[in-house]
Amino acid sequence: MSAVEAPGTDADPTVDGLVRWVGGHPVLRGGRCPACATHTFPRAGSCPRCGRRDPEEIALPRTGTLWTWTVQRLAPKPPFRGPEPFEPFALGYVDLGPVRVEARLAGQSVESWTIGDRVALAVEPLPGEDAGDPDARWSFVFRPAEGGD
Amino acid sequence: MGAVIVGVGLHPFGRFPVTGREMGLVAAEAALADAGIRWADVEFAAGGSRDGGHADALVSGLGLTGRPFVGVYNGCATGGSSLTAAVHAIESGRAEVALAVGFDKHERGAFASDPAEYGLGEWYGQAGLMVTTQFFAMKIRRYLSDHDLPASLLADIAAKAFRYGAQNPNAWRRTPVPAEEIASSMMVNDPLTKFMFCSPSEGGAAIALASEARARRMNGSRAVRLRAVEFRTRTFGTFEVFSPWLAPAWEDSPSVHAAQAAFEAAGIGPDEIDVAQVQDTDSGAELMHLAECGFCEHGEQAALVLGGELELGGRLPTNTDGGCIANGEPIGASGLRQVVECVTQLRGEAGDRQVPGEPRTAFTHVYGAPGLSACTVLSR
Repeated sequence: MSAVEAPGTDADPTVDGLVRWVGGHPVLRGGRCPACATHTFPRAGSCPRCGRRDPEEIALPRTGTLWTWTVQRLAPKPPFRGPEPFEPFALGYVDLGPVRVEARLAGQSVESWTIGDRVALAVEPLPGEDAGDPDARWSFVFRPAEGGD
Repeated sequence: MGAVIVGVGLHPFGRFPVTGREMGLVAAEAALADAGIRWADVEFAAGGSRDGGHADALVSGLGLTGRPFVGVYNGCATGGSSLTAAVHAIESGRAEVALAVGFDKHERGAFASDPAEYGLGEWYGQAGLMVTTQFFAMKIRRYLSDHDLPASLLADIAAKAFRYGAQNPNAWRRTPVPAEEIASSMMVNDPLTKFMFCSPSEGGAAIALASEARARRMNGSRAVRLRAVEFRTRTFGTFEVFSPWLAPAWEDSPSVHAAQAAFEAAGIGPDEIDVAQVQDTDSGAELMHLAECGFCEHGEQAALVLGGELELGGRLPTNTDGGCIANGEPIGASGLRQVVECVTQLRGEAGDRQVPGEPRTAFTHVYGAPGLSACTVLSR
């Protein structure tokens, strides 16, 4: 399964406005506090460190390293919606520099990840969703970065 | 601190064909009987339950005395918060006798949480990230890597929990499980297997407290002094459950701050504690919490576990009633269960699982979503 081209060209409503497209690549829409430079993902209504309102939006780095990870082997309860039968997926925290982002991991077998792996952002339909369906739910994921992603 | 524990009560933990409220009533009545007092003597009460109903509705079963009963809804710190409220009532002089009670009755399987209740977008749950067990797995994986600890400790710690659960008539899991079977049981969230996790369960626990003056006129020889109870929430930069992002520096958990505050308030240090109950939502959590609470340096846990120091005859007998792993976790009751176990140990009434050498000091610790911790220090 390769990273698929997602619908939309700017702020992408299919992943809850979490992703913006820049130069044909998806980037995560993070927040940066103008007072203390704290970065968050997603952008929050106020800075969790100093309480300043309305942090500015920034594009987070597209690549990073895997900081920790696990595998979800049992189907989560709602609002998770997935295929039947459930297919285990990997997830982890990716160190992007100013912030570590939690995300699903894709592109290789669920057990084959290692702390320190280089990964890059991609956008994919959630499991069980049809990429051709205009109402399909999409999600951001990180995939192995080798090969120039 | 001027509060003395004069009575403790439990409804056994596990699965039962009664309501959560009934388990709360049983625990409260047991604590009152243990203290040799009546509900009418209680001038202030606090209690909570996540899924078992409103704790303050217990008054219709205990007796409509008109006294204040504060309902607490504080996640895994529900017991600690209830205890804090009861202690404050006594220290402020508003009450001479107070009761803290907790109970719960959860569905099977991992807790279902609504992202909106934690200020998170629906996408977080839809993506399958709103799962508490994932957090514990990811935290312990990074921790083991950072501190060069073997993953085999996770099975060793769970085996200890089942061993002590087998010696505790109030525990849910009462059959010892060897470490090899724990390690090879179904993987839930790598590296944590099914038998390394506690499960949501049912049960009730209650603590009766009195002022020092009142306690002296009661069951003096079995009284246990509550030296400190401290409750903290997360500070910026900690690694917590339900976090879509983390700050680049990993700061001290609220467990560190709650434990430090409790030891400071009690005027004794972690090296003076004779028996401890620390939150073992999973065996990795017990391992990390031992260091976060100040009982060892990060990375020293292998020596504690493999050297038998966490066993009944060791330097720091830990989770002597089987902990959350053998008792399950009825959220409202879990933190108070730890206090009940410490009181039982300090009184020398723990039977087969009694810590030898007449322990004089004890410590309890809970940790929970979305980043909070409550700790107590007790002494005879």
